[in-house]
Amino acid sequence: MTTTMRIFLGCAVLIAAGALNGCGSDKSSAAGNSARATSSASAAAGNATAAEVAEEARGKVKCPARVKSAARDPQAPADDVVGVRPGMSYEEAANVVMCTHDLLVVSPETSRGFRIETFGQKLRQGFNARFAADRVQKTSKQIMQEMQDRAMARSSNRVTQDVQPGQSKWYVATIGIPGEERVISAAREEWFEADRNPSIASVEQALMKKYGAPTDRRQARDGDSDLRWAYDPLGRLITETSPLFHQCNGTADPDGGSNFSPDCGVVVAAHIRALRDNPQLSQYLQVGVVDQAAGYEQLTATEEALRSSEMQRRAAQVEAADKNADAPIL
Amino acid sequence: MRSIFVLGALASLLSACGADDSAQAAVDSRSASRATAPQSNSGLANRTGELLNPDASTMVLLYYDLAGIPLSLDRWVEDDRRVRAAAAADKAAQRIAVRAEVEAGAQAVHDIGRVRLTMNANLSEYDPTYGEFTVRALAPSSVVPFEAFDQKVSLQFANGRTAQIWRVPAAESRTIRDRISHLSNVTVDVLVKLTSVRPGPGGGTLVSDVVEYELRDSRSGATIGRVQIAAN
Repeated sequence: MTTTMRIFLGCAVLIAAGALNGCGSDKSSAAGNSARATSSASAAAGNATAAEVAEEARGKVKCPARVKSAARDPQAPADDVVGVRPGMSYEEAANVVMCTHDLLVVSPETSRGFRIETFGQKLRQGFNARFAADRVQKTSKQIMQEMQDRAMARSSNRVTQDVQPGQSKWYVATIGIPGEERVISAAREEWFEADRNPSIASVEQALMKKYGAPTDRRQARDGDSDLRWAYDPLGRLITETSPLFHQCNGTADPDGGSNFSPDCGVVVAAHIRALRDNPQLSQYLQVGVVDQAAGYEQLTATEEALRSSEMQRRAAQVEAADKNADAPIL
Repeated sequence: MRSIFVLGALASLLSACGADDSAQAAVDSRSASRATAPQSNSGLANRTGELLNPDASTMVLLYYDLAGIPLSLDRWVEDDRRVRAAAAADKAAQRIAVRAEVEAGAQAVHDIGRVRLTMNANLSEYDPTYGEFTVRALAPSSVVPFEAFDQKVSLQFANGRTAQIWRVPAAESRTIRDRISHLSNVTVDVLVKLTSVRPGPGGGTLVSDVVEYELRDSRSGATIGRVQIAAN
């Protein structure tokens, strides 16, 4: 007779937006900074280095980031990805992300999100962060050549990477009523510099030093390694004897989707990709964190707040219509 | 994307097709603006009545009562299968009969603040790490759905995080496991106290706290355990 509830964040394929928007470190809203960055980016012309592009797009970023949101209980397990943790405000998270590297540029995510009724209100459902690239003025011939290359890559299923060695990328999901969006999940992918790839074992050790003994650890034949730290909503580590063991999963991939169930608490997932020519070394590391119960609660509360405000607006409109509207001519 | 997996069958659907959700939301909003306010938590605490395994229409009427939303009596009467199927000459009498039935049902839920339900416990295997079984039917994600009058009302358990945990010492767990023919044969008789109501489009949610429950093996009828939930 019962029904279970889960929310799934659609894992739409990211289509990298050309505009490199920025997010401010201050409370003056990331949206404002984004708009400024977009306009300056469109106004900018001529060649520019990645550092110049990043500077234009980022605006003023204060580092280290100041975080006013409640800190994690020191007794509670680690639940952050390089300082970004569920519960932070959108602005705080964007600030922390940009402070992790001078070339990282934050842009609001618009191509994926939660399918909730927003009644026309614009919510910031998350942001991406990517490394800025050199801006090069191209001839029409060069542009055509690049388009042709991309088409060839698609038709031949050629593997293309949107992150280069030494770079990282982020996706941070947020939800809340406009202006009060808070982080409910975060994921980061870090590519190690060529010829400086750490061993899979050393990356695993570093992860276990930070997050503790994992709920689950799996190594694939090709050398890839997956680790998961899952907690129930009471903050207890889920072990293999728990009924939640197969239920509470996370996503390490910034391009992946997240599940939100009120039955699960914080879940940290890590994926270590092995180098194809030496499976003992890691090519890149993905780490994601999600607070499923809190995320579910925030999603539900946001939906309810938006619906309630819409109902109030409609009721006010009906009340006004009772007083001022024209009567039909019969 | 939100996925909702409906596992249970719904009892006695009294409603027929109606307006779509958006239209209904608009109708409800108009009604709500002129309706009485939803029951406050203290108002709910004063309710002493109890329902035992209520049918869907009773739960929808209870939701309307708690949310303070006026009944859409005219529409419900017109949508009732008996009215629609009645011969033209009998329609008027059938309308009166159906209206009286719904009004009586609505009157009967005025004092209801507690509900007893019997359902499959969806009991987990014993977890030796924390020394507990999990009664997944009472989990935070668990929803008991009721659908009637073209409205979907659900019952949820606000204290499900703790209520679902049935702590049992390891030695005792073996005896319990031996007495259960199969985990899927365990039923739970649960008493819940309604704590709040969350209106939504085309229905809403009745939020409750689990007060106590009893677990039974549905084949033998033997009681497996009784749990009282400590009040916060």
